[in-house]
Amino acid sequence: MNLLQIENAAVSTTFVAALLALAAFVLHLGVRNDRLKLVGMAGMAVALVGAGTTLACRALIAQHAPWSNLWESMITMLFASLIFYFIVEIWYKPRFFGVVAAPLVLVLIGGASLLPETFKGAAPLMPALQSYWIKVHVLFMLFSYAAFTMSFAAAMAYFFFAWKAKREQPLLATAGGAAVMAGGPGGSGGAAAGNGKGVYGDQLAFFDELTYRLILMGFPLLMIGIITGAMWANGAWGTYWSWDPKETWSLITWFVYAAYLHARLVHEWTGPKAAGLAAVGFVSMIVTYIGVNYLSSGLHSYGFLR
Amino acid sequence: MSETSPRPSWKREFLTFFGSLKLAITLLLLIAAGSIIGTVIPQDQGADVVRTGAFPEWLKTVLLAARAYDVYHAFWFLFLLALMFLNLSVCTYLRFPPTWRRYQMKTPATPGIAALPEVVRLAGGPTDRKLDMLRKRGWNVAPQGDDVVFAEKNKFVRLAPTFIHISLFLVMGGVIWGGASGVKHSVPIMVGETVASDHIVDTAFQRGRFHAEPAPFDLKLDAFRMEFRPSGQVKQYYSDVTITPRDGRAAYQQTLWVNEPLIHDGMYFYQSFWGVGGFTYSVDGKPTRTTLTQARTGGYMSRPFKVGGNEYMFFLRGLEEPGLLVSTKDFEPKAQAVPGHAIKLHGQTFMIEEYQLFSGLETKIDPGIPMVYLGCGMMILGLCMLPFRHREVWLRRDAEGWLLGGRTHRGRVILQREMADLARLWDADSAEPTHVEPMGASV
Repeated sequence: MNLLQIENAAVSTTFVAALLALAAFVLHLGVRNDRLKLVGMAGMAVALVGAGTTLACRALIAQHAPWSNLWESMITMLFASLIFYFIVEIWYKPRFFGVVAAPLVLVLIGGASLLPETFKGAAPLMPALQSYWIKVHVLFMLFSYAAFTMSFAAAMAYFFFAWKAKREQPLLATAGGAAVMAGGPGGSGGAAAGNGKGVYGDQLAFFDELTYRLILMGFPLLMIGIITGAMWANGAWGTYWSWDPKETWSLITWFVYAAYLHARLVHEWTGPKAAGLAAVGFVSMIVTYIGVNYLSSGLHSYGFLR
Repeated sequence: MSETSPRPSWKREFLTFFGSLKLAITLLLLIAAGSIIGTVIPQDQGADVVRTGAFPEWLKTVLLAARAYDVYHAFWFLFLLALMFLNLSVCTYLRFPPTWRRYQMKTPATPGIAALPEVVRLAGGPTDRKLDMLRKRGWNVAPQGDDVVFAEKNKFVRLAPTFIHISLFLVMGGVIWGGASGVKHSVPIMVGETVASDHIVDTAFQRGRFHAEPAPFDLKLDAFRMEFRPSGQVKQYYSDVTITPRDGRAAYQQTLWVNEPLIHDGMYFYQSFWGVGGFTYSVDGKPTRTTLTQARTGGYMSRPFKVGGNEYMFFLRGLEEPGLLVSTKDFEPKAQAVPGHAIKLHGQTFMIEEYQLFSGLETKIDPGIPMVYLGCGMMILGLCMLPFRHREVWLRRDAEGWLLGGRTHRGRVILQREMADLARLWDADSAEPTHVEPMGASV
């Protein structure tokens, strides 16, 4: 087998593993058998190894850092998202995070696979990109995007449980919170039952906070990404900031998440409003990542159409 | 905050309003929204973009009034930025002193246990071993008498917001300083041409804020080269230049390329752009040199010249395409021309001999950069503190035994778990079985 074949096999494996993981997580949400969650996590682990293998193959084929075109950057983001997924699993031990994380992982691997060939091939770099800064700047940006993607997953989970709580509250109001706890050893069962949010109160509080924790991880990474980009620009063009559309959108994303972080300090801004703002930040991040290339051309227009 | 000291009420109101979090959030979102305009409307082409754009009349009026074609320098955008920095200043003024006092305090006042958001009951009281166990896990433990033990972790995080806010002032200061006294200048140099450095930095000194003398030297562009890949893509652009200092030092040659500026006496020259500056053509073997200017629609256009009594202009879209001879009578292309290939036109032989390229060197002096970078470094440091949490816990004795109460400035759910874990560890060597009972959980 040559490297290209291994790369293709790794992509297929990642896709299938993520699909199986999603199936297991959905079933887990339905039947609440924790073995299913383990199956899902195993699927995510295989996807992580698959994405890592893909990146290694691409680095060996292209002879440069494997995050230099849209396809490569999506695979890197996928890899980083899976790392953040496991950080969340290990540190916060959520019971139902996989079911929102896996679809986003699937979108990334599926989207990357569906890209036209021109975005995929291992190509040499254009002059402006031939710099060691690309390794640093792009990597930090992609890791921040990945953290924001997972925070978006957590925000979606928040909305999901808020919707479920609204729908089922009358039925389960007296059933006690123990069955749907946020999980984790010794989580305070029933603590939320008394606070008026019903049996999903724990899940709501947990995902509200998880969104916040992930944004707290993504925000410094975004800042480092923007600053290393500015340093690169200063070295290559003599200007650290040019108000190029992609630069500007990264700053807009920064402003939205900065607003989110400040909003957390105002009591009435936690909950649905905060989750909504996290979603706005995610949309802004997507525009920074992809949408900007459709808005107008700028210093960052390479890596997309050329 | 301000309530504690008797201030005139207008001052208090000013501080409360301009230091408020809600103003901060509003401003951040407004600046984000305003910035979008500049990514939709081109920013480097002047007001004509709006005037000639396909907008309804009323929108044109609004966009022109708002300077949407140069939004990042528009009065309202700068006003929002200024407000944000006022907000930052007031916020720092109000919050830094109490934060600093708390930071220096070894043990804050003990709150009533019921006031703490998280409380669990412990199976046993503190022993030296148990307190050591806390210390090993990173807690800073301070026993206060027989009935109370205070412990905290990651106190430094409390300083992170101030740190980040101060770093923003540094960045902004550096940007303003660089903008006021720095200079950026683009010099297109034709191959074979020489420019004097004074010419390049003139603008900087005309502003009168610079005290350094320009390093006088001449810069000659010997060659501009493009390196291609087998696929035809450009691999790299190179400018070979000769620097001749006027103070008697020896002239030297150097090559600069994208990502690799030339540095001479503290001045930076960047490979910024390139283009076709002119060409040599011959009519019946008689060569003439003429210049090309960039056309608004893209490509290059020459001045009119005559071939066989008819007037033509030469239009070149790019080096990879043949040039077009366009008649000035009807502006229709009449013939294609490629360097080295003669064509017959009105009985005469016309040939493009060669194109003359120019290399666009950008030079820059920005004294604000060290300050901007210092601010950026501080900001990264401060932001990297954010994912950590400051936690405070109190062990208190009541009638039934010992309680563990805790609070944190962010992350209730995680604190809950952490305290449950802590209680489990605490109780691990107690005779009684682990018993975790959350109390008073609602905020």
